[in-house]
Amino acid sequence: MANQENTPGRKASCGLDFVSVLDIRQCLAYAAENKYDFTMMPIVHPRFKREFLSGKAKNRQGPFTRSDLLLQSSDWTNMIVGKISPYIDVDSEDCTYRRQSEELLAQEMTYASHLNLCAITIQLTSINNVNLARRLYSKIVSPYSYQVWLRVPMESPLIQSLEYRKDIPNKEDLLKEKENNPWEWWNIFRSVCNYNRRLGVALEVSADLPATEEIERWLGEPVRCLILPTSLFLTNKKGYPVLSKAHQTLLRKFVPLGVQIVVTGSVVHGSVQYYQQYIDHLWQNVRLSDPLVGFARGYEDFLQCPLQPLMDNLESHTYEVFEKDPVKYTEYQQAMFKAITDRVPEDQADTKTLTVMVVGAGRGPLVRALLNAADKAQRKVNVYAVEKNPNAIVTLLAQKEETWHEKVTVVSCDMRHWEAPEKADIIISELLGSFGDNELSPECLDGAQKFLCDDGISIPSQYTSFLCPIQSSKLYNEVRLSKEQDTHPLKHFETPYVVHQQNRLELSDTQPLFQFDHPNKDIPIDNTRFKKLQFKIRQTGVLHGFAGYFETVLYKDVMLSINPATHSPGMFSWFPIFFPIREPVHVKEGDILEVNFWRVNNSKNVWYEWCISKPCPGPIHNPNGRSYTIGL
Amino acid sequence: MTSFSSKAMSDSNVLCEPRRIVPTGPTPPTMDKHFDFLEWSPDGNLLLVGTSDLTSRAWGGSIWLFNADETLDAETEKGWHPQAKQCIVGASLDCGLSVARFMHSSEKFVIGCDSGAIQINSIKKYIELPSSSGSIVGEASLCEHNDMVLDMDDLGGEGLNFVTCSQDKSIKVWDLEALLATHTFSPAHGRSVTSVRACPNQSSCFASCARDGSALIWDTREELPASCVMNPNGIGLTSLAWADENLLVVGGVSGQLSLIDIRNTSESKKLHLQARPTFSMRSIPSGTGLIAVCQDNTQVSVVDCKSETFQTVYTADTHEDFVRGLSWHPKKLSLWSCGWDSKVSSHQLKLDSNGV
Repeated sequence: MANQENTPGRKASCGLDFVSVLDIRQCLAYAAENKYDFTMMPIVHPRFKREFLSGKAKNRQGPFTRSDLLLQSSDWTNMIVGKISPYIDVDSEDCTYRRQSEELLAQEMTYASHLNLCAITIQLTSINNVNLARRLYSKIVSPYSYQVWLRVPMESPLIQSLEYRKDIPNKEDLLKEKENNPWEWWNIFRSVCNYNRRLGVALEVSADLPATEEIERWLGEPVRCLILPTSLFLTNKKGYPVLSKAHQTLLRKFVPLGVQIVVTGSVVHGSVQYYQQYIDHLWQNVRLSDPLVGFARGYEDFLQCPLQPLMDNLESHTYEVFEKDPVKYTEYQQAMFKAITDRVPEDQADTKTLTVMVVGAGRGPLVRALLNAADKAQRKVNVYAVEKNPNAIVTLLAQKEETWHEKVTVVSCDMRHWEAPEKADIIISELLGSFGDNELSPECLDGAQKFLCDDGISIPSQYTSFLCPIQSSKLYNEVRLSKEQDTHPLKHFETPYVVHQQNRLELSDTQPLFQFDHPNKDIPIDNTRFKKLQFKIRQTGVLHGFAGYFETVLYKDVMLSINPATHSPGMFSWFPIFFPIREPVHVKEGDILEVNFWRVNNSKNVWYEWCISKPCPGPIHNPNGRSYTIGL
Repeated sequence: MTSFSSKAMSDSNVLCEPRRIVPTGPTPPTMDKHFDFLEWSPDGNLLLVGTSDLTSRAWGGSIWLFNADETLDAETEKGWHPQAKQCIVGASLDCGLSVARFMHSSEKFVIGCDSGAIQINSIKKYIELPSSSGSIVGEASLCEHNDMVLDMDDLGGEGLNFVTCSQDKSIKVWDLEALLATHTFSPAHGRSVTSVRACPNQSSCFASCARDGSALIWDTREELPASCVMNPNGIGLTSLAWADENLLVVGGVSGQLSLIDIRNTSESKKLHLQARPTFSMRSIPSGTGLIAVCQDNTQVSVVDCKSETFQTVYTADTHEDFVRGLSWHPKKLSLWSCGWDSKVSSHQLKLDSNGV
C-alpha cells in the first residue's frame, strides 16, 4: 500500500498528432526528442483518394501509401495511432460516394491491421453514423485486433460555427437538439456496436467547456484520450504554454481514468516539447484527493467477487490489508469509548467490570481497539474474542499469551452456536460488506444477541445500504467478459461485484435501500427485505447497473460510511459494490427509473434479486438465487 | 508552427514569432508524381505547377515555373509530361501542396501546404549572373491553420488579400502585404472547408463550402459575416465557383452541380456530371459564365451558367488519373488541367457561341 501523503502523480502519456508526415522516421524521432510517447499519423495521405468502382483511375499503378518496411514492426505497433482519411463518409446520402467510402475505409483498416497498429482513430461528425458503426464493428469483432478511437468533439463544430451566422436567430434552440450533441453521436455509435470494449473515445477538448453535467457524463465513458489543440493553451509571463483553470480542472478529472493526451495543431509556443512538459507537470501535481486512490491503484474498475467470510476462512494477507485501515479502527475505538463510558458511570469505574464480546475477532484488531478504549476510559473490561476461523485463532492465542493474558478469553467457535458462559454488556463486530448486510451481518448478530443483556449495546447498532444508478460501459464490459464456462449463461450479469469504480457516471442521487438495527427485538426476526426505489434521471445517458454503498452507525454519533456523499475520510476498507443489469437501458433526462430490490433467504443461503420496472420493465435478475447466493 | 509537418521537425519550421521562413531547396532533379495544381501568371507568360508525392517514402512537394514556350506540348493530343530540365526554376518543399495563386506580379506567388502553412515565394534573379534563371525564395511562411490548407483565392483581385480554407474547419482572410491574418473564422463550418472563392469585383465577400453539406457567403465587413446559400442535406460539398457576382455554382460528392442565385436561394438549377465528387472549379476570367470543373475522376468539364439551360458545353477525358488542377490562360482563354498522371493538358474551347 502506498503512503497516502506521498502518493506520486502518474506519468502522463502524451501523443503528438501529425498533420503531414514528410519522413515517418524523422517524425518519430522528432516526437521522441520532444518526450512524446506516441504519435497520431495518417495511414494514407489524407488527400490521396482512390477509385474502386470504375473508370481509368481504378487501374492506377503503384502503392497507395508508404511501405511497411520504413519502420520496424515494433515502432508501427507502439508508436503510431493510425488516422483514417477524413473525407471518408460511409453514411453519405449519395450511394456512389458511400460505396466508394466503404472501400476506402476497408482498405485503410486492412492496411492498419497489416501494420499491426495498436489503434486507429476516426472522426465522428454527426448523429448519422450507423453504417460507420456497422462497418467498424464487423471488423473489430474479427479479424482486426486494434482499438478504435472515435474522435468526438466536446461541442458540435456546426453549432460553434453558427456564431458567425446572421441568418440563424435561435441558436440556443439548436443547441438543445439531440443531433447537435456529440455525446448522442457517440451514444448511437457505441450502442450499435454493442458497447464493444475495443471502442474508445478520443475526446476533442473545446475552448469553451460544456456544462459540468456534460463533462461528468464523459467521465462515465471509455475515454481513451483527450485531444488538446495547441490553441487551447494560454501563454504565461515567461512565454510558456499553460491551460486555463477550467481546463486544468477538466484534465485532473480525467487523470484517474488513465487517459492519454494527444497534442494537435500548430506549435505556437516555441517548442512542441513545452506542451508535453506542461501536461506532465499537471499530471505530477494532481493531488490524489480521493484517499482510496493510493491504496486502490491498479484496482480501478477491476471486478472482484465479494468476500464470503462466513463460508470461507479469510487468508492472512486479507486480514493484513484490512487491519491497515487508518480510519476504521479509530472510529471503532471512539464508539467503544463512548459505549463503555455510557455503560459505566465515573463513580463505578473501579467497581464495575464490563463484559464485552468481540464476535468475528479475526486476528484481533477490534480486541486491541477495545483494550485501548477501556484504558483510555479507565474502565475495567472482561473480553471474549469469538472467532470461527481456526487459523486466526492461532494469532489471537499468541497475542493472549504475549500481551492480553487474563483480560481476554479466546473462543474458537461460530458465534451463532456458541454457548456463552455469561451475558455481554456490549457486542462488537465488523461483519459488514460493501453493501452493509451482504456478508450476513444481520444473521450473525441475530444469532449472537442471545448472549447480549436485554439493555446491551451492539456496535454497530445500525446499518443501511444505498443504491445509485450508474452509467459505465467500462464496467458493463468487464462484467460481460467475466463469463465463466459451465455456469448459468447469465451468471455474470446476476452477480454483484466489489469494484473500485472510476470510469462511471452517477445518473441520479444515491438513495437508501435496506436498514438493519441491532440488537433486533422483532418477533419473529425477519431479515428479508423488498423495496422499490424511484430515481429521477439527471441527464440523458445509459444505465449499466447500480452502485451499492453502506453507512453504519457504530454507536450514537460515530459513523462509518462509503456512501460518496458522506464517505469517511481516508477509509479504504471497502470498495463499493456493483449490481449489473443484463442489457443497458437508455434513459432520458427527467425519466423516472424504478428499480426493485429484494433480499431473500432460505435455510442455507441469502441472496438479492433485482429488476427494473420503469421506464421500461425488465426481467428479474438472479431469481431464486440461481446465479449468486451468500452461504449461511 | 506547422502542424508538425515534415521539416517542421527540424526546428526550422516551427514557426513562431518572429516568423521563420521555410527554406525552399534548390531545383530538384525530378518533379513529383502527383501534379496537384497549375496556375498561369497574370501576364500569361509563366506556368506554375505544384507537385506532391503522396504515396512513397517522403510525402513532400515541389513547385515549378515554366516558360509559356515550353508548354506547347500540352496542346497536342498526347498532352505534356513536363520534365524538370524544362523548367525556369523549381524548388522542393517539406510537405505536399494543393493550391497556389499568383500575387500582384508574376514574380510572386502564394501556396497552400498540407502542413497548414501558406507560404509566399518570389523568383529571385541574380544581376551578377545574367545567364542564370534565378531561384525561388521563400519570403514568408504563415502557419496558422491547424490542418491541411485545402483551397485559396485572391480576395479583391489585387493580389494582396487572400482567403484560405482548411481541413481544420476554419477560414482565414490574409493581408499578405502586412503578413497577417485579418480574419479568422474557426470553425467556419461543421466539417472541413473544402473550397473558398472570392466574389467577383468585391474585396470583402467570398463563398465557402464544406463537407457538412453547407455553402455560405461571407462579408467580412459585417459583425455577423456569414449567411447560408445551401443547407446540409447529407451530401458533402467539395467545390464552388462564381459565374458572376450573383450566380454561384456549388458541387458535392454526388457529382451534382447546383446553380444558385444568391438573391433567391430557395431555388436552384441542377446539373449532373459523372457520379463522382467534384474537386475544383475555376470560372473563366472573361466573365462569360463558363466554369471549368474537375472531379475525382479523369474528366474535365466546362459548364455554361449563363445560357437558358444550365448545361455542360465541353468535356474531355485526356487524363489517365484524377484531374486535380485547373487554370484558364488569361490571354488565350484556353483551359489548362493537370493531374496525378503527371500530365498537363490544354483544352481549346470555341468561345464565340454558346456551344463547343
